[in-house]
Amino acid sequence: MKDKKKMTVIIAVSAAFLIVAAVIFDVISSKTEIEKTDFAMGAVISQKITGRNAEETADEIISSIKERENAISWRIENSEIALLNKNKKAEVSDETLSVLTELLDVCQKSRGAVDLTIGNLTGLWNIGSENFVVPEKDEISETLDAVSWEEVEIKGNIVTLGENQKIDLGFAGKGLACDDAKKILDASDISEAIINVGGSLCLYGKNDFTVGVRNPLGDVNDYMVVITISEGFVSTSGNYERVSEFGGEKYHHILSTETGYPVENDLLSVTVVCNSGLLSDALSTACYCLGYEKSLELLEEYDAEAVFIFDSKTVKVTEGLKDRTEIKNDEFELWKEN
Amino acid sequence: MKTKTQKIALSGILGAQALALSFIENLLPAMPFLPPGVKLGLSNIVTMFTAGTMGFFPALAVTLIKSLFVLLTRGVTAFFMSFGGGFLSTVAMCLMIKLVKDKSGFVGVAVVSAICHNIGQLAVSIIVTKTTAFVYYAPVLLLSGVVMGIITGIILKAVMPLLMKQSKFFIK
Amino acid sequence: MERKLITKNDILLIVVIILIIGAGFLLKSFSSSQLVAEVYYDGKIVETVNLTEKEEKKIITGENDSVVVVAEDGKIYFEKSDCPDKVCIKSGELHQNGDFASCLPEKVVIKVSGAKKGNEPDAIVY
Repeated sequence: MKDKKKMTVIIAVSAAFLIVAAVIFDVISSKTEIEKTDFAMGAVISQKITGRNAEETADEIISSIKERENAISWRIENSEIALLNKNKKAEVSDETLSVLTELLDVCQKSRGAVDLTIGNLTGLWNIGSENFVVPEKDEISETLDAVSWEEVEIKGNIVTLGENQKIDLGFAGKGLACDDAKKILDASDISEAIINVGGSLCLYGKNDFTVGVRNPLGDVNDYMVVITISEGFVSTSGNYERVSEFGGEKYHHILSTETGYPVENDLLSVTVVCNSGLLSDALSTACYCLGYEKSLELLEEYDAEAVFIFDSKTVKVTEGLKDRTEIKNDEFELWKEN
Repeated sequence: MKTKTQKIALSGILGAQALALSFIENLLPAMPFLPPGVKLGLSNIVTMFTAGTMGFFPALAVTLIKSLFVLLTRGVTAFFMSFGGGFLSTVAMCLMIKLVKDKSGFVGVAVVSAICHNIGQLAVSIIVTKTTAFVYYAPVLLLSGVVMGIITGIILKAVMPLLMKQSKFFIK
Repeated sequence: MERKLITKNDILLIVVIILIIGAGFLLKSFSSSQLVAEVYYDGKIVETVNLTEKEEKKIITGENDSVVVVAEDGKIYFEKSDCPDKVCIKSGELHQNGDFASCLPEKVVIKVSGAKKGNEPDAIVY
């Protein structure tokens, strides 16, 4: 009888110790992984961070993104870009200078398919606005004339724009924010992080990540293909992101620097994987504008990989992603070379 | 003979001491794994002593003094959390002392009162924020209550002689 | 007070309390298998809805209370919003772990989590 009681006591006390250990472990592990949602750069920023000081790091990342927005957003009065657009000539900070220089390089290598001086054109169309109206043909061609990255002059930190030029970095801003996030992560004790800036991803950590690509024909949360990649940056450009309707027709927000109208080709979306956030964002737009064939060379130059989704519901991926792609939706087919 | 005045005076002193302990606790940074506003509960030592030697109402007075200070320094919500927890804790410790007098020691009373304090605080925070999000903290909270209960119980036993001396000074 | 520091009953009490905490802890772990939607306004949670339990709720939020979020039958969605482009409403119904919809101008976000099936991607690029 006494043994039975002893047994019960021992079991109860051991259970108690286990419970204490379990609770402490749970608390410590859940406090080192945090999820945070914020608004900045006109987008939802979703962070999943694991590691020491995760909370502070997340806050730091948001501050840094807001700081960046204040410098490069043409929408913010007195941002470096807004002032440059207004005065056509301005001195910019070293950070902004390096962004502009890098983007000009992309403009050049893409042969003008993306052009950071597209500001007046995007402003004219104003896709996504209330009371959207399709601009007149001559308005468009006149505005298109000013879209010319070659006219941008840089001397030291002084940037000079051509007449009637306006800079719009919307096609690369979110990727840039991802780079900012990475800088902070590098300087921290974080072991793993997934930062989603309005759809552009910064993946940080030793292990591979599975990334779902949004189904261009489906709902916001619908992904039809999954790629497995190691840390890096991913961005998508598609004709579903921002669309306005007028006179029964749909107009999406990726404008062609050749026609001045929304790009018309056989692509629904292009997703670019790269080791630079800025590039992944800029290249996804460039590739969408260039179309599949012409994109391949550009991607190779930047050592980037991509997923192309065609309106025929075919999916093509670049060499580096071939063995790491899985289609999750029967409607789509992965292109197989014979 | 204890006169009412002496009793009140002693309650006041004890209240001030509870307050001092509470103040010292506040100087410690918030523990990363506990919800904000939850403290160690050192002042419970004084409250328990009061409950054990003077009864329910003096103990409640000590709790109230402590909570009023919280009201002045940290606002209304914090006051309700402090008093909500404090009230429940005081009731629990008095019941325990009265009913299970011989079967429990300092640690038992301390643990029960600490846990009731936490439960009270949790209940108030749920009512105030109208969400059940804080229930998430319950296991950690109660566990820390057990740990702090053990610690404060030990401390109380250790300082009993000193506190008794102080009481005798007021109540001859 | 000739009270003891600690008695056998005290220890028993503590063990029982810890066991109760353990039970509560298990319940908490169980809740992560429930599908839960969180509605945020300006970065702070304003409402949570248990979708597994098919909770029915109508949530009014946003700048000037101009957004209506409806939860019913295990789904949650934006029903009404004063925003110009209505992207939020077009996001449709959220009904599984990881689903997400937002109304930027109104600063409202809906996130669905829990009931993890384990084969979902780490992130979705869009």
